[in-house]
Amino acid sequence: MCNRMILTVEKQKRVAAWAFLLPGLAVYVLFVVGPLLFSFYLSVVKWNGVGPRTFVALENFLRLFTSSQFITSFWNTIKLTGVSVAIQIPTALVLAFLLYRSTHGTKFFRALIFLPVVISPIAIGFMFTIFYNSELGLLNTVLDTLGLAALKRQWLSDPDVLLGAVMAPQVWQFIGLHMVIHFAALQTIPEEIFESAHMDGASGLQVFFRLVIPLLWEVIQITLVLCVTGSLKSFGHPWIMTQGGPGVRSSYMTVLMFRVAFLERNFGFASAITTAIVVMALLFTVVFRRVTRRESVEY
Amino acid sequence: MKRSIVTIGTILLVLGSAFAGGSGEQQSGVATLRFATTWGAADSKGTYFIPMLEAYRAENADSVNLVVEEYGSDDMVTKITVELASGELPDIFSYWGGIQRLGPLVEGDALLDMNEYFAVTSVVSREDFTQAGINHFTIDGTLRGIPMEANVAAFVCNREMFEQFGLDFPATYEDMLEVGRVFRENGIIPFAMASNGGNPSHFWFSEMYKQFPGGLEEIRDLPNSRRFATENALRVAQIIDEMRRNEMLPADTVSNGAWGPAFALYNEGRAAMIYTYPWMLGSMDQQMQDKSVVIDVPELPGATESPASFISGFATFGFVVNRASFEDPAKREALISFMDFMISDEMFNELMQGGLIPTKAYDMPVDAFNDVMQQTLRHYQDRPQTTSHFWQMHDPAVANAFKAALDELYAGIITPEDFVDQVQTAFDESDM
Repeated sequence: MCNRMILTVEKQKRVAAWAFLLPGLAVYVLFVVGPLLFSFYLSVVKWNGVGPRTFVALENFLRLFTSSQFITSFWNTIKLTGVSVAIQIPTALVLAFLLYRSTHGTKFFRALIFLPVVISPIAIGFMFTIFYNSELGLLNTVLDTLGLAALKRQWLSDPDVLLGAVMAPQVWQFIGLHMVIHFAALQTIPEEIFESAHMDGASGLQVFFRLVIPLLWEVIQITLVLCVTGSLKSFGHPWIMTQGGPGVRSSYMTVLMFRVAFLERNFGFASAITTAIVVMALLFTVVFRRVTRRESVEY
Repeated sequence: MKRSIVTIGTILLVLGSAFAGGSGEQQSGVATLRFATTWGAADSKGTYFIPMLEAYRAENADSVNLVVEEYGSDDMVTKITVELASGELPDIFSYWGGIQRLGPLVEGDALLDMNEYFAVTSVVSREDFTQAGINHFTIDGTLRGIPMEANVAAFVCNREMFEQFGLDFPATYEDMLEVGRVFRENGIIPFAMASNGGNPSHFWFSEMYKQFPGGLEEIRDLPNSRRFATENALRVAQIIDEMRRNEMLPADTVSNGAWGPAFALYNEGRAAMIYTYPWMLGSMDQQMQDKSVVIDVPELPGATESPASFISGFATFGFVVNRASFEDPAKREALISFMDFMISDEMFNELMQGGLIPTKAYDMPVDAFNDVMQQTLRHYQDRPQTTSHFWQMHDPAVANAFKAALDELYAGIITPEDFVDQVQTAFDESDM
């Protein structure tokens, strides 16, 4: 009798769990899994958006390896990812630590650094297009005024500086996001830990490297994943500033995907690019979790 | 447990009914029409067009719920591409003629044969429109849209700047280089021509091309010959490269490319000359119009076709109608009424103020055009219209390769030879 009752309660719990899970699951399947599968299906066909779809097996994927446009866009994306990780995360971490330690103006500077994050990449892109403009923009004028005319460039036309100029707004814009995440995590660390370190005579650098980084390691991993996946799906800044050009010299994979799909109406190849982006993001996440797996520091 | 299941059920029901109610929105007797247009805030015609639409909406509120969606040009192409693929096209939308843009819509059997509209409307007939306009919207022998806007390119000079330095307007390319040198020395951009997304550079490329031997014919025959890599193409690319090296163009050709930025350089008095089209001229400041002079395109060395003997012009824009919407009895009358309104004389009169050259033959008030437009029309009147490479590239992949290569050529990243090769390769790889 008792066993039957336990079974019934278990069953009811399971039904309730599924009932609560189903709406979310349905939305996820409908809006994430479904489009992903459809996108993968499109990547093995030739389709211009109308008319019949012709099965071409792996032709679109093989083209990824021979298309100079894709190869350039791929490396641009890798460069953006590298630069974002190298600049955004350390800068955000340092800023968060400095804000945490400061006694004055914390709220003001936190808001100031976070402000660009809430502005649309489109608006930031427009702003930097004007900023970089050699005829109307501010950057070259400022360089002139500072006696640094030798550094003046055609920022969006010169292939030597073009990609860096297009990356810069994005790298700058999202430092605030990572800073806020690190700052919030820092606030969860008990104050006594820092006080003990202080009493033991630890310097600021020692506190940062020996305490802050190990204690925030779990959070840093999350921001790293956010930074990498954010870079992989970056689109707004280059699209507004250069449309990925001249040619594809400032194009990321997403920009190329958009051009191929919507300007050239080659949905098959565009979907192969999309699949490549998804695979890269998944691979990175899995490999990264394995490589960085270590015991988190408890406090 | 029972209560939670009931709660979940209620939530699902509410959600279900919300989704069910979302699509219809059809009040009794009021047809909802979705109209997508590029003639909004980003276009000089928007100032006149949007108030007309609002007035129409107010006057016909009891029969039509007009939903207006405004997009930039590139966004419009994206939107229509997506909505065609998903079967969600607007009921009626502004669009370009020509097979490159209309081809997919025709292939998807999405467009109304406009003869069906002309058969039922009582206010207009297809004979009221210019033959060039009708031809531009005729695909495979069927009229797929109604042309509204014709265009003519204009080469415009800032008279005040030329007078300031005692210069004559350039009649030849050599003159252009000479005045350009003087302007550069005085901190003025000689020629507001650059390239971002191939704009506005692709029209300028064709403009020069037509002056060379057989150029007009080569462009006209491009869809059949698929031969872009000609001696003329290389020659034009070399001239562009030479203009760049002689600092005739803005230094940063990407950030000063695209229609708006290039036009802004002239309109703000930073550049002395510009080659542009009515959709930009319509928004020229009055002060700048007063000092602007329309001239012939300078003659290039080796030209066999005088630039004074033709103009670059075409019917570009009009509107098309979703066939399924027209066949929907609930929308048909509302659509016909709205189409009548769109091509009414009153509408054209308003749009002319924003720079639109009507494709409709009627007693138009020419003084509705702004000064520089009137000057443009007077200067180039009675010359035969000629087309350009872009409109002859039926495969959008080729057209985009052409535009992308132009961006690189203007930025000095590729050589004229590479430019020609790149575009020809796109032609060779195209299966259209």
